Amino acid sequence: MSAKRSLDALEVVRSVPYFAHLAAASMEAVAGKATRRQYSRGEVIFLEGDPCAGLHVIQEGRIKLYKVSLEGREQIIRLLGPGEFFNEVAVFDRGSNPVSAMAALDTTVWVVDCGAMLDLVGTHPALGVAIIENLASRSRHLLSLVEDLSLRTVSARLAKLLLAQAQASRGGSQRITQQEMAAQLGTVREMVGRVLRTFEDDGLIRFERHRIVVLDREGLEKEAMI
Amino acid sequence: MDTVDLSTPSIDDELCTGCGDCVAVCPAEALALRDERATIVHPEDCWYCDDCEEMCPVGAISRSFEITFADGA
Repeated sequence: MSAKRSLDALEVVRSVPYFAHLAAASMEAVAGKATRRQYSRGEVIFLEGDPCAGLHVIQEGRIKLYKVSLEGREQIIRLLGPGEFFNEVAVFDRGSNPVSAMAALDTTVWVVDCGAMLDLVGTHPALGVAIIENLASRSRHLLSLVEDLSLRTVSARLAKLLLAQAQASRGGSQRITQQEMAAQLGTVREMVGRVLRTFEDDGLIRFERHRIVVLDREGLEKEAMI
Repeated sequence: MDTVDLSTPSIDDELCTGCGDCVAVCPAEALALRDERATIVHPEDCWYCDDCEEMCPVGAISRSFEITFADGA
Protein backbone atom coordinates (compact mmCIF):
# COMPACT_ATOMS: atom_id res chain seq x y z
CA MET A 1 0.00 0.00 0.00
CA SER A 2 1.30 3.50 -0.83
CA ALA A 3 2.14 5.85 2.02
CA LYS A 4 -0.83 8.09 1.17
CA ARG A 5 -3.24 5.18 1.15
CA SER A 6 -1.82 3.96 4.46
CA LEU A 7 -2.44 7.38 5.99
CA ASP A 8 -5.96 7.49 4.55
CA ALA A 9 -6.70 4.05 6.00
CA LEU A 10 -5.34 5.09 9.39
CA GLU A 11 -7.46 8.27 9.39
CA VAL A 12 -10.56 6.21 8.65
CA VAL A 13 -9.81 3.78 11.51
CA ARG A 14 -9.25 6.74 13.85
CA SER A 15 -12.62 8.20 12.80
CA VAL A 16 -14.52 5.19 14.20
CA PRO A 17 -15.72 6.17 17.70
CA TYR A 18 -15.48 2.57 18.94
CA PHE A 19 -11.78 2.48 17.94
CA ALA A 20 -10.96 5.84 19.51
CA HIS A 21 -9.37 4.29 22.60
CA LEU A 22 -7.28 1.72 20.81
CA ALA A 23 -3.52 1.86 21.01
CA ALA A 24 -1.79 3.29 17.96
CA ALA A 25 -0.32 -0.12 17.14
CA SER A 26 -3.81 -1.67 17.00
CA MET A 27 -5.15 1.08 14.76
CA GLU A 28 -2.15 0.74 12.47
CA ALA A 29 -2.63 -3.02 12.35
CA VAL A 30 -6.26 -2.65 11.20
CA ALA A 31 -5.36 0.07 8.71
CA GLY A 32 -2.57 -2.11 7.32
CA LYS A 33 -5.02 -4.86 6.36
CA ALA A 34 -7.68 -2.58 4.85
CA THR A 35 -8.39 -2.18 1.14
CA ARG A 36 -10.21 0.88 -0.20
CA ARG A 37 -13.28 0.42 -2.39
CA GLN A 38 -15.56 3.01 -3.97
CA TYR A 39 -19.21 2.56 -4.90
CA SER A 40 -21.62 4.71 -6.86
CA ARG A 41 -25.04 5.61 -5.51
CA GLY A 42 -27.35 2.62 -5.88
CA GLU A 43 -24.51 0.13 -6.33
CA VAL A 44 -24.82 -3.14 -4.38
CA ILE A 45 -21.83 -3.77 -2.12
CA PHE A 46 -22.68 -7.32 -1.09
CA LEU A 47 -25.74 -9.58 -0.90
CA GLU A 48 -27.34 -11.38 2.01
CA GLY A 49 -26.37 -15.03 2.02
CA ASP A 50 -23.16 -14.61 0.04
CA PRO A 51 -19.87 -15.63 1.69
CA CYS A 52 -18.54 -13.20 4.29
CA ALA A 53 -17.53 -10.00 2.53
CA GLY A 54 -15.32 -8.80 5.38
CA LEU A 55 -15.56 -5.93 7.83
CA HIS A 56 -16.41 -2.65 6.08
CA VAL A 57 -15.52 0.76 7.54
CA ILE A 58 -17.19 3.80 5.96
CA GLN A 59 -14.92 6.72 5.05
CA GLU A 60 -17.53 8.81 3.28
CA GLY A 61 -21.02 8.37 1.91
CA ARG A 62 -24.02 6.44 3.21
CA ILE A 63 -24.77 2.72 3.36
CA LYS A 64 -28.16 1.01 3.48
CA LEU A 65 -28.30 -2.41 5.15
CA TYR A 66 -31.45 -4.25 4.11
CA LYS A 67 -33.27 -7.52 3.64
CA VAL A 68 -35.60 -8.37 0.76
CA SER A 69 -38.61 -10.70 0.96
CA LEU A 70 -39.40 -13.32 -1.69
CA GLU A 71 -42.06 -10.91 -2.99
CA GLY A 72 -39.43 -8.23 -3.42
CA ARG A 73 -40.40 -6.00 -0.51
CA GLU A 74 -37.42 -4.32 1.11
CA GLN A 75 -36.93 -3.85 4.85
CA ILE A 76 -34.22 -1.39 5.81
CA ILE A 77 -32.31 -2.65 8.83
CA ARG A 78 -30.03 0.33 9.30
CA LEU A 79 -28.56 3.37 7.55
CA LEU A 80 -24.87 4.05 8.30
CA GLY A 81 -22.50 6.93 7.63
CA PRO A 82 -18.82 7.91 7.95
CA GLY A 83 -16.98 6.49 10.94
CA GLU A 84 -19.25 3.44 11.22
CA PHE A 85 -18.46 -0.17 10.35
CA PHE A 86 -20.66 -3.10 9.35
CA ASN A 87 -20.77 -6.83 8.57
CA GLU A 88 -18.94 -7.74 11.76
CA VAL A 89 -21.58 -10.43 12.40
CA ALA A 90 -20.41 -12.46 9.39
CA VAL A 91 -16.77 -12.03 10.39
CA PHE A 92 -17.22 -13.28 13.94
CA ASP A 93 -19.78 -16.06 13.52
CA ARG A 94 -17.92 -17.20 10.38
CA GLY A 95 -21.23 -17.27 8.50
CA SER A 96 -22.57 -15.64 5.35
CA ASN A 97 -23.50 -11.96 5.11
CA PRO A 98 -26.63 -11.56 7.31
CA VAL A 99 -27.98 -8.64 5.26
CA SER A 100 -27.42 -6.96 1.91
CA ALA A 101 -25.59 -3.64 1.65
CA MET A 102 -26.04 -0.89 -0.92
CA ALA A 103 -24.45 2.54 -1.38
CA ALA A 104 -27.24 5.07 -0.70
CA LEU A 105 -24.85 7.82 -1.85
CA ASP A 106 -21.46 7.70 -3.62
CA THR A 107 -19.48 5.92 -0.94
CA THR A 108 -15.91 4.99 -0.03
CA VAL A 109 -15.32 2.08 2.34
CA TRP A 110 -12.24 0.28 3.62
CA VAL A 111 -12.56 -3.50 3.81
CA VAL A 112 -10.69 -5.96 6.02
CA ASP A 113 -11.28 -9.55 4.97
CA CYS A 114 -12.71 -12.04 7.43
CA GLY A 115 -9.56 -14.05 8.06
CA ALA A 116 -7.41 -10.96 8.56
CA MET A 117 -9.97 -9.48 10.95
CA LEU A 118 -10.04 -12.62 13.10
CA ASP A 119 -6.22 -12.64 13.21
CA LEU A 120 -6.20 -8.99 14.26
CA VAL A 121 -8.62 -9.58 17.14
CA GLY A 122 -6.44 -12.48 18.27
CA THR A 123 -3.34 -10.30 18.46
CA HIS A 124 -5.09 -7.08 19.60
CA PRO A 125 -7.74 -8.05 22.19
CA ALA A 126 -8.76 -4.41 22.76
CA LEU A 127 -10.01 -4.41 19.17
CA GLY A 128 -12.32 -7.30 20.07
CA VAL A 129 -13.71 -5.36 23.03
CA ALA A 130 -14.37 -2.36 20.80
CA ILE A 131 -16.29 -4.54 18.36
CA ILE A 132 -18.28 -6.14 21.19
CA GLU A 133 -19.35 -2.64 22.32
CA ASN A 134 -20.56 -1.91 18.81
CA LEU A 135 -22.39 -5.26 18.61
CA ALA A 136 -24.12 -4.49 21.91
CA SER A 137 -25.29 -1.15 20.56
CA ARG A 138 -26.53 -2.83 17.38
CA SER A 139 -28.43 -5.41 19.45
CA ARG A 140 -30.15 -2.61 21.31
CA HIS A 141 -31.15 -1.01 18.02
CA LEU A 142 -32.50 -4.31 16.69
CA LEU A 143 -34.52 -4.89 19.86
CA SER A 144 -36.07 -1.47 19.39
CA LEU A 145 -36.84 -2.35 15.77
CA VAL A 146 -38.48 -5.63 16.84
CA GLU A 147 -40.54 -3.74 19.40
CA ASP A 148 -41.64 -1.23 16.76
CA LEU A 149 -42.55 -3.82 14.15
CA SER A 150 -44.44 -6.10 16.53
CA LEU A 151 -46.01 -3.73 19.05
CA ARG A 152 -46.59 -0.43 17.24
CA THR A 153 -49.08 0.36 14.47
CA VAL A 154 -47.81 1.82 11.20
CA SER A 155 -49.15 5.18 12.31
CA ALA A 156 -47.20 5.04 15.58
CA ARG A 157 -44.03 3.85 13.81
CA LEU A 158 -44.28 6.65 11.27
CA ALA A 159 -44.83 9.27 13.98
CA LYS A 160 -41.74 7.96 15.79
CA LEU A 161 -39.73 8.07 12.56
CA LEU A 162 -40.78 11.66 11.81
CA LEU A 163 -39.74 12.75 15.28
CA ALA A 164 -36.37 10.96 14.98
CA GLN A 165 -35.72 12.45 11.54
CA ALA A 166 -36.64 15.97 12.73
CA GLN A 167 -34.30 15.58 15.68
CA ALA A 168 -31.50 14.29 13.43
CA SER A 169 -31.96 17.14 10.98
CA ARG A 170 -30.90 19.58 13.69
CA GLY A 171 -27.41 18.18 13.15
CA GLY A 172 -27.56 18.61 9.40
CA SER A 173 -30.00 18.12 6.55
CA GLN A 174 -31.03 14.53 5.81
CA ARG A 175 -33.65 13.85 3.17
CA ILE A 176 -35.85 10.79 2.91
CA THR A 177 -38.45 9.57 0.41
CA GLN A 178 -41.77 7.96 1.29
CA GLN A 179 -40.43 4.71 -0.18
CA GLU A 180 -37.44 4.84 2.19
CA MET A 181 -39.77 5.54 5.11
CA ALA A 182 -41.86 2.53 4.11
CA ALA A 183 -38.81 0.29 3.87
CA GLN A 184 -37.69 1.32 7.35
CA LEU A 185 -41.15 0.82 8.82
CA GLY A 186 -41.95 -2.53 7.23
CA THR A 187 -44.85 -1.24 5.18
CA VAL A 188 -45.54 0.07 1.66
CA ARG A 189 -45.25 3.58 0.20
CA GLU A 190 -48.99 3.99 -0.31
CA MET A 191 -49.63 3.37 3.40
CA VAL A 192 -47.00 5.95 4.35
CA GLY A 193 -48.64 8.45 2.00
CA ARG A 194 -52.08 7.85 3.53
CA VAL A 195 -50.84 8.20 7.10
CA LEU A 196 -48.89 11.37 6.26
CA ARG A 197 -52.04 12.89 4.78
CA THR A 198 -53.94 11.96 7.94
CA PHE A 199 -51.24 13.62 10.06
CA GLU A 200 -51.50 16.72 7.87
CA ASP A 201 -55.30 16.79 8.16
CA ASP A 202 -54.95 16.49 11.95
CA GLY A 203 -52.56 19.46 12.05
CA LEU A 204 -49.59 17.44 13.24
CA ILE A 205 -47.42 18.17 10.19
CA ARG A 206 -47.37 20.46 7.18
CA PHE A 207 -45.99 19.69 3.72
CA GLU A 208 -43.76 22.32 2.13
CA ARG A 209 -42.01 21.94 -1.23
CA HIS A 210 -39.06 19.89 0.00
CA ARG A 211 -39.87 19.69 3.69
CA ILE A 212 -42.25 18.04 6.08
CA VAL A 213 -42.59 20.35 9.08
CA VAL A 214 -43.61 18.94 12.45
CA LEU A 215 -46.14 21.45 13.80
CA ASP A 216 -47.35 19.61 16.89
CA ARG A 217 -44.48 17.73 18.48
CA GLU A 218 -46.49 16.73 21.55
CA GLY A 219 -49.31 15.44 19.40
CA LEU A 220 -46.90 13.41 17.29
CA GLU A 221 -45.24 11.97 20.42
CA LYS A 222 -48.66 10.90 21.63
CA GLU A 223 -49.31 9.30 18.25
CA ALA A 224 -45.92 7.54 18.50
CA MET A 225 -46.84 6.20 21.95
CA ILE A 226 -43.64 7.53 23.50
CA MET B 1 -19.05 12.39 -6.60
CA ASP B 2 -22.21 12.71 -8.74
CA THR B 3 -24.74 15.39 -7.82
CA VAL B 4 -28.38 14.52 -7.41
CA ASP B 5 -31.01 17.08 -8.47
CA LEU B 6 -33.16 17.51 -5.43
CA SER B 7 -35.37 20.25 -6.84
CA THR B 8 -37.77 17.88 -8.66
CA PRO B 9 -38.97 14.32 -8.06
CA SER B 10 -36.54 11.58 -8.91
CA ILE B 11 -37.49 9.12 -11.69
CA ASP B 12 -35.91 5.67 -11.74
CA ASP B 13 -35.28 4.90 -15.44
CA GLU B 14 -34.95 1.20 -14.75
CA LEU B 15 -38.39 0.97 -13.13
CA CYS B 16 -40.17 3.36 -15.50
CA THR B 17 -42.21 1.51 -18.15
CA GLY B 18 -43.07 4.61 -20.17
CA CYS B 19 -46.80 4.21 -19.52
CA GLY B 20 -47.29 7.99 -19.54
CA ASP B 21 -49.73 8.09 -16.61
CA CYS B 22 -47.56 10.63 -14.77
CA VAL B 23 -47.44 12.84 -17.87
CA ALA B 24 -51.21 12.80 -18.09
CA VAL B 25 -51.77 13.63 -14.43
CA CYS B 26 -49.13 16.35 -13.94
CA PRO B 27 -51.01 19.61 -13.26
CA ALA B 28 -48.02 21.71 -14.32
CA GLU B 29 -47.31 19.77 -17.54
CA ALA B 30 -43.74 19.44 -16.36
CA LEU B 31 -43.38 15.81 -17.50
CA ALA B 32 -43.08 14.20 -20.92
CA LEU B 33 -41.99 10.90 -22.40
CA ARG B 34 -38.51 10.96 -23.95
CA ASP B 35 -37.06 7.73 -25.42
CA GLU B 36 -40.04 5.91 -23.91
CA ARG B 37 -39.20 7.06 -20.39
CA ALA B 38 -40.80 9.74 -18.22
CA THR B 39 -38.66 12.84 -17.95
CA ILE B 40 -39.16 16.13 -16.17
CA VAL B 41 -38.84 18.46 -19.15
CA HIS B 42 -39.92 21.65 -17.36
CA PRO B 43 -38.36 21.41 -13.88
CA GLU B 44 -38.98 25.10 -13.31
CA ASP B 45 -42.75 24.45 -13.50
CA CYS B 46 -42.80 21.44 -11.17
CA TRP B 47 -45.03 21.98 -8.12
CA TYR B 48 -43.49 19.05 -6.21
CA CYS B 49 -47.04 17.86 -5.60
CA ASP B 50 -47.65 14.13 -5.13
CA ASP B 51 -49.70 13.50 -8.27
CA CYS B 52 -46.99 11.79 -10.33
CA GLU B 53 -45.65 9.78 -7.40
CA GLU B 54 -49.16 8.60 -6.51
CA MET B 55 -50.08 7.82 -10.10
CA CYS B 56 -46.98 5.80 -11.05
CA PRO B 57 -48.04 2.14 -11.07
CA VAL B 58 -44.49 0.84 -10.56
CA GLY B 59 -43.17 3.27 -7.94
CA ALA B 60 -40.58 4.77 -10.26
CA ILE B 61 -41.12 8.33 -9.04
CA SER B 62 -40.11 9.53 -5.60
CA ARG B 63 -39.89 12.85 -3.80
CA SER B 64 -37.46 13.35 -0.95
CA PHE B 65 -38.14 15.55 2.06
CA GLU B 66 -36.22 17.03 4.89
CA ILE B 67 -38.19 16.61 8.12
CA THR B 68 -37.88 19.46 10.59
CA PHE B 69 -39.57 20.90 13.64
CA ALA B 70 -41.47 24.12 13.22
CA ASP B 71 -40.10 26.93 15.35
CA GLY B 72 -41.43 26.40 18.82
CA ALA B 73 -42.54 22.84 18.18
